[in-house]
Amino acid sequence: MRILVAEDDAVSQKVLAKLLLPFGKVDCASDGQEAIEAIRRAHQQKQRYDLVCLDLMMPHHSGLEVLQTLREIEAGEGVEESAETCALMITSTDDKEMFIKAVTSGSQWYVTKPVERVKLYEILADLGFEPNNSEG
Amino acid sequence: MGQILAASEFLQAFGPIPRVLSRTVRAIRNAEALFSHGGAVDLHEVLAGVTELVFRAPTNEAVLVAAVEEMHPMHLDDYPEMPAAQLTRFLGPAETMAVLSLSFLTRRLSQVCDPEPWGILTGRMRQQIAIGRILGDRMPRVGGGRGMLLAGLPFVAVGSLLATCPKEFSQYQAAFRSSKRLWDTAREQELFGVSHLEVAAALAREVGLGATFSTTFLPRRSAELGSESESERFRLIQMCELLQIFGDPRYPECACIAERFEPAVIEGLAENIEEVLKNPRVSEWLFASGRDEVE
Repeated sequence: MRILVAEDDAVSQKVLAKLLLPFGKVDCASDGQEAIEAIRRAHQQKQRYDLVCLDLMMPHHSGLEVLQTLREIEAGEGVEESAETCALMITSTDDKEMFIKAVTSGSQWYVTKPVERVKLYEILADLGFEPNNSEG
Repeated sequence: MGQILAASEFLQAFGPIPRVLSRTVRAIRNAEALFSHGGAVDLHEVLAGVTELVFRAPTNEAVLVAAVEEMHPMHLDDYPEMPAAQLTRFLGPAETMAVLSLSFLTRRLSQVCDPEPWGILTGRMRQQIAIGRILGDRMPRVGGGRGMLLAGLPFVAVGSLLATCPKEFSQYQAAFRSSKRLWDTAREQELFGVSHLEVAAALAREVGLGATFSTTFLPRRSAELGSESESERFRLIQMCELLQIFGDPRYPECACIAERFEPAVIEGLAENIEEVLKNPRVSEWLFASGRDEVE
């Protein structure tokens, strides 16, 4: 399983990447532009991400803009919903409008910080992801 | 022996599940998880926001209005001019998911199923959904909306067996028509290669209800989950067991099951269910229709 963590805060990025390591190979991006480049590269190499975790507020491009680009690339490739990359929008705000925008734009789940291990693993299990090893 | 198909192949009876439906159902669950514990954000406003698009479709709107009329009539009298998505505040997140998913799936099957057996199935499904709501309301960590889904999705799944393999379905019906059982999953395995519960599980995931909920349909007994007796999964599975017990209009005496459930769950249940069984118009919202169906 291939995972992308896009988060501009270095500590949060590291924590999240470590939490996700049992699920597969984790790449990291430190802003929206890097995230878009990583996603484009993955699609060109036909090694699409299974899961992307996007911080809502990032320099250059927000998590919503990255998500929009991802969905546009998938639409261009004719990817069906069941095969599309799962997107978690991660944010420190529980703003109503932002939530509605994220979930109606194709984010599979909207997660508020702090992202705790139990909460994250429950969400991933519900979305059909299981850790590759029991160490979790 | 009929044709052997995988559970996912029976989902083709429904045609493509519209992205707007699965996204909306998942968004409702997400909103419920984030905003149902109080706080500054009003869950009902979020619910109206995430369902606005789906309830713009006239048929979905008609279903919603009919569901509120049937399940929460006093509220509709108070707010006759309310925009459709705002009506979701009376149903709440889980009932909204149930109404949206079950009505959509029923409509799709109505287009492809032989009307006679489908009519018999839907007659029982309408009662079961109402019973599921009553049972779910009494069960901690389940609630009426999830009770409706747990009761309704198995019927819809049986409908997909009918739509996909009509010949095998008549053999199936004949085999247990005279028995007290509502379904015969062993016979389903022989005839279709799957049980309707496996199809229900696949269907639940397809409409966005998530892995935790969908695995409830797979064969497990609450007794096997002793260490998880406070978990959501335990309660959902226990609810499925209750539904099986009350699934047949000739359900057994309450006394024989009372020991297995908390008194608050069982008390007065037989009377409530009797009322549902006597009501010929129960769950009519399932078949409400608008000018067209936008999907």
